[in-house]
Amino acid sequence: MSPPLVESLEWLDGSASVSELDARFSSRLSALDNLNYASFRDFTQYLYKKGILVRENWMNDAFPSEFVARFSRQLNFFLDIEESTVAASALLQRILEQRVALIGVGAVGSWILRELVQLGFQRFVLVDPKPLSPADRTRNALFDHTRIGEPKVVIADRYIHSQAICPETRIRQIPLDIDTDVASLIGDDVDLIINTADEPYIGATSIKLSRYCIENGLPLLVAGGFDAHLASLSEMIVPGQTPCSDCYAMHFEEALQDWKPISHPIIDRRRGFGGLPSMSAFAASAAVLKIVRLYSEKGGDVEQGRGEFLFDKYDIDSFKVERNPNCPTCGNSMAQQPHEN
Amino acid sequence: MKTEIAPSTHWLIRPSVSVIPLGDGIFDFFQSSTRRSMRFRLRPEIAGVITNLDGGMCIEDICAEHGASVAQVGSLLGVLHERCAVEPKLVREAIDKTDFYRVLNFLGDYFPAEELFAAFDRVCSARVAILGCGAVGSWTAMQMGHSGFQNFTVIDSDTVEESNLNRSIFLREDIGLRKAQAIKAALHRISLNIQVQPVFEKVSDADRLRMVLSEARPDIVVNCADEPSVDLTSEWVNDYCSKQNIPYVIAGGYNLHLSLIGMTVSPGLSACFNCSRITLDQLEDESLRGVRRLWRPKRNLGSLAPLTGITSSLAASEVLRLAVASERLVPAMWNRRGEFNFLTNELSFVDLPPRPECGCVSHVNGGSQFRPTHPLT
Repeated sequence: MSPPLVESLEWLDGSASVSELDARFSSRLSALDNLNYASFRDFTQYLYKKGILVRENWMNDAFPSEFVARFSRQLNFFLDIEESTVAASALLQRILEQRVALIGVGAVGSWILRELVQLGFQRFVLVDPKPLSPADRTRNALFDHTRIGEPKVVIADRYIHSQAICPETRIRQIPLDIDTDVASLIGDDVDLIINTADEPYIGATSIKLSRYCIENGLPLLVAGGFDAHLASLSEMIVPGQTPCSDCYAMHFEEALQDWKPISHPIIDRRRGFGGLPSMSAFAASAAVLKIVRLYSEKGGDVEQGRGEFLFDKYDIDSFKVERNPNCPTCGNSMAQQPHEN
Repeated sequence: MKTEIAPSTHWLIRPSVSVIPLGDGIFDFFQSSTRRSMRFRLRPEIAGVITNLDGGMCIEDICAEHGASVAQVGSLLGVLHERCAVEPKLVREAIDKTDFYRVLNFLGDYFPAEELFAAFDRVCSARVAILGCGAVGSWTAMQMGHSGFQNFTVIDSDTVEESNLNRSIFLREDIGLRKAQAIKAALHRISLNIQVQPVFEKVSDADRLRMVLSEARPDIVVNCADEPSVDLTSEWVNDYCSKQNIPYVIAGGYNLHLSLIGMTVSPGLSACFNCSRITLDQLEDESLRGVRRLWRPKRNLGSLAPLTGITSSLAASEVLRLAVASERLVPAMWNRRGEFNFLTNELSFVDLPPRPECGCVSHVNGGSQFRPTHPLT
């Protein structure tokens, strides 16, 4: 870049129009006695196409002032990723409109919910059968000791309604069991399902939800946060694009065929597992990043693979699992419905 | 330290530890919280005892049932206790009774049962000062409050604005409140037993910080302040903490480093902030040769909630590691800093070793010897 153009970058602070700056640039060149440099207008046009230069009021053109006040810094981040104001605005708009079914408002589900609401998600179906317990103080991001005993879905619902700008919610204080009818549990207008329910067992509920999602062309996020997966990077399942829960189950059945723990001598281990709030926050944040990437146009690979953040040295142990062509749920013989944003 | 295992005591395999037979008498003990393994080759009668340890029978009786030597089993249990695979039934019952069982079970991967409650007490009693209560500061404070920390000094003069809500713990009803006051209210929703001293102070120079911290007398400092710049506030924190021998964590989450995993400093044991500057300046000299910084005073910078979540989770983990004050669980961010990549979900680290030319005391020990950073309780 020529030195006058470098100098002109500092003028681009929204205080003057391109025409005015073009005139200033011309007189600067005259002062330097050099008229051979590239056009200032071409230069600004190039920066605009790259999303580096933006109109001063681009956010206000796209959203009411209340949304701009809340999300201006986030829109700036989206601009970095999406490289255009139109795409950045569209990403926030999608976030505001998506209806998310969150199964489980516990150790990771509650942290995911807080981050999603911060991001602008405001339409939710919340499913959790349990009340807030005293021990939730070490794991639930919505913990309030004055509300111990209240259903977690009610507490989560109140949180959404107090924070979101245009909230719209449904709550279901019942468990997701193996024989639950998913459609009647969450309704038929959901755009994304997040499974954080570790009871009866997250593997089983995820396979059930994954089959429902493949059939209905819905994305499913299976979060971590339990037992040996305290800070898992979660799994994003997108029909037609990524492995489904059956693919993962088949993969691990083979990979772990020689890894069979003995039946643990302690029968009831419910208070025996560990966890740190910081690990839950990490798992939730990694999951929410996958959700942002899902709705982003240029956010990169939706599912970078399975991964575990290891507390010991802060390493991430990750590996890619491919779709299984013989999968009875999403394999080659099944009709696919690619996900569209 | 090896524990004597009395034959009359009751022991069990920790519930979060899985035992996997690998054949040829070899057993893998897998700590599920931290995903770490240890392997032992066991004779059949010893394996019979170990794999059935449910706390029901005393060691003497269970050895008799399996025809195993009490002395040999006792010796092995001593090792398994030291390696955090087994625990006495009495300790299990004590863990089960508390609301903090998740945190205790997690720390139990690092601390043998007989040291566990003392380590957790150190977490509860550690006095932590958080400088800067923005996005990362507020999230870090909350994670610490959920973990059991009970003594906070939170330092910030700002008030909560609508634009803070997209990434911090503040609520709509907090708008207009001082951030430090809003954090106090949030921590008190977790427990009224948490002591929070809010300091509505705009720390604008090293002297001011010294006065605030001298009054707070923290055991640990967390720097989440990026005004006027993270480099300046870190320099002030380093100056005070080095003289007072107080460990500190530099959190990330600011411009260009939204997902930075900051370094942890224990004066005399690890590189200090000034050591890191020497290394980073050298690295920048090489990568930024010819780069000119633009003067752009009115910037509205990007931010994203989950990146704040990741940065704060690592900061909170580092404070926990400092608070347990033990060589069994030392900071993972001594002598380095890291960055989480939004696009690839990868963590990368830069080594920041102690620099003798810095003149600090880090090179004397270089992290080789541990000593507690605050009085053991």
